[in-house]
Amino acid sequence: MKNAFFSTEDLTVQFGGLIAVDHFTFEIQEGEIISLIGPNGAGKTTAFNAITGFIKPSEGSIRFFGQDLTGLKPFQIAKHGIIRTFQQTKVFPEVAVEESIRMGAHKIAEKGLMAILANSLRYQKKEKEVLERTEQILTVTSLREKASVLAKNLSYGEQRLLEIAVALAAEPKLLLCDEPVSGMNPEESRSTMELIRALRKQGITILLVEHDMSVVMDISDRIVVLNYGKKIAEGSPKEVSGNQEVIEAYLGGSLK
Amino acid sequence: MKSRTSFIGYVIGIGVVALLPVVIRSEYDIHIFVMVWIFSLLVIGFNFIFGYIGQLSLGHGAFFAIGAYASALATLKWGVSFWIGLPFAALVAGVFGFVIGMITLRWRSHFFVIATICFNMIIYILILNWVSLTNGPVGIGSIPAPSLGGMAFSTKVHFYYLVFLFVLGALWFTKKVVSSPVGRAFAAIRENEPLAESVGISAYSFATLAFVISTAMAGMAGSFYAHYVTYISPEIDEFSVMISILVMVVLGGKGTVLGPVIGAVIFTFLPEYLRFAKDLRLPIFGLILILGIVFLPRGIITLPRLIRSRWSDKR
Repeated sequence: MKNAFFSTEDLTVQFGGLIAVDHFTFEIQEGEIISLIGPNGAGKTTAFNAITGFIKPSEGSIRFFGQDLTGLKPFQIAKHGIIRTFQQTKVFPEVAVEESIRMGAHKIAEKGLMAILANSLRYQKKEKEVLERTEQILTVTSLREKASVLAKNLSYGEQRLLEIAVALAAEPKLLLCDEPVSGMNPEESRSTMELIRALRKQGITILLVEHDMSVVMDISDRIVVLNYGKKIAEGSPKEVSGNQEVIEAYLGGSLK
Repeated sequence: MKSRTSFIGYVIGIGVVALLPVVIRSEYDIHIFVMVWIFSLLVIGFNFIFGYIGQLSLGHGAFFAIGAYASALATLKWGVSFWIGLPFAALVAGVFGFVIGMITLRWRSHFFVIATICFNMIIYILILNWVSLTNGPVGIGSIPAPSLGGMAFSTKVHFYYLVFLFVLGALWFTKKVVSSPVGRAFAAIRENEPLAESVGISAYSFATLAFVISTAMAGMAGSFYAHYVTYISPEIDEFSVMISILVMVVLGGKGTVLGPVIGAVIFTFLPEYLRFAKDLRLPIFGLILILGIVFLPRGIITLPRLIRSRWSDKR
């Protein structure tokens, strides 16, 4: 088998008697935007959690750049360049926006105590990099106006955006967004999708979980459909929306 | 502009504290101050795990005791000087902290609290019963005072400056660390652990690091205590010491650089100024502490900011 950018093989997550993700095999090509969809309880978020190490898979493997990442802890997977956002918004509540992004840039920062205490040149240089990266992210996410606002005082939509900003600071090669626009108003939702497109242009590969079908159909290069933990379809938005099994999975509803 | 005013603030603050022994004539007051500085070292350390990581260790009294005994025994049994005893105390307490942290910080929260309480008890019982090493309940006396180049730190004023210097060093260290990426990792873990992990921060490693810093400082404080008071007994590991530390940090402002020291000063001096109340002294003290924590939940250190914001609201 060729070396894909990212792949899972027979990924399975079992909670007692319930199989939440069932022998899920799929691939992501570098540079694409791929969406994972399915009815409620299909196992999308569980698959996300398994990929990012928040849940240990019961079976199967996860490969990234030809390396086996199965069973690693979340922070180790993050170090490999797979960064996620969460369905239930997670921010650092008592921390200002700008500082939050800096906290996200942990990977590129100098963590040696000796270098820090001695204020070494290397430390200064790296802190400058962190600062520059933070500035960049404030610009691309249009959060600059809110730079000194505490995360807990942001609107819901802004918190979701901050979550993406913090994830970006961690230099993702593959960014997993769990329902990034849920709870956003149409205007915020549209600009977030623009942001995701822009990120792809910068070379970040994106895996989306999203409920809003119009959004998914519009932005995705490819769609993977899960139902009861199993992959039931895969293909371009057009192929998937015409797929009989997919239509049935969504209780016979049309997908437009 | 702001950094300049705060720099002037530091200089004035340090100057005032440095001149205090000249102004204060009473030996007793100087003694209380020395104790305040020793406790400051202890709470600055405790603040790393409790304030910055957000994990409550109720075993810090044990690390204080470990440092005191390690330093006292090293100077008495091996005849080394205090200047070896002090880092040795930090090392021994830090190694204990590392091992305990490695085992218990994997789970954190209430598990960690209970584990540290148990550790505290184990150390207390060990000190009490390992008579051949610790002299048991009788304790260890005649612990030598430090000396430097022939000059002995024998008076209270000497100790005042010696410990104060280390408090300044500890504050500098804290400031440096918490405003660095390491401090940002600490804050990330405290604020939202899953999010911290998702950007590549190992909560386990950084919590353990904070705990080692924290326990090593407690060990240093213990060493100073032993060589200042010149007598130690298992009493120094009693649980009331632990509660005092906790109140100092919460009262002053946890997770801030200066808060714990302010807490230590107020917690130690307030009962002294309440002597006029005679029997009601401790109840009044308790009431003030409760009011302080209710009205300033983030500590006394937030008081100036609060007043300033009220002031600007009114205008």
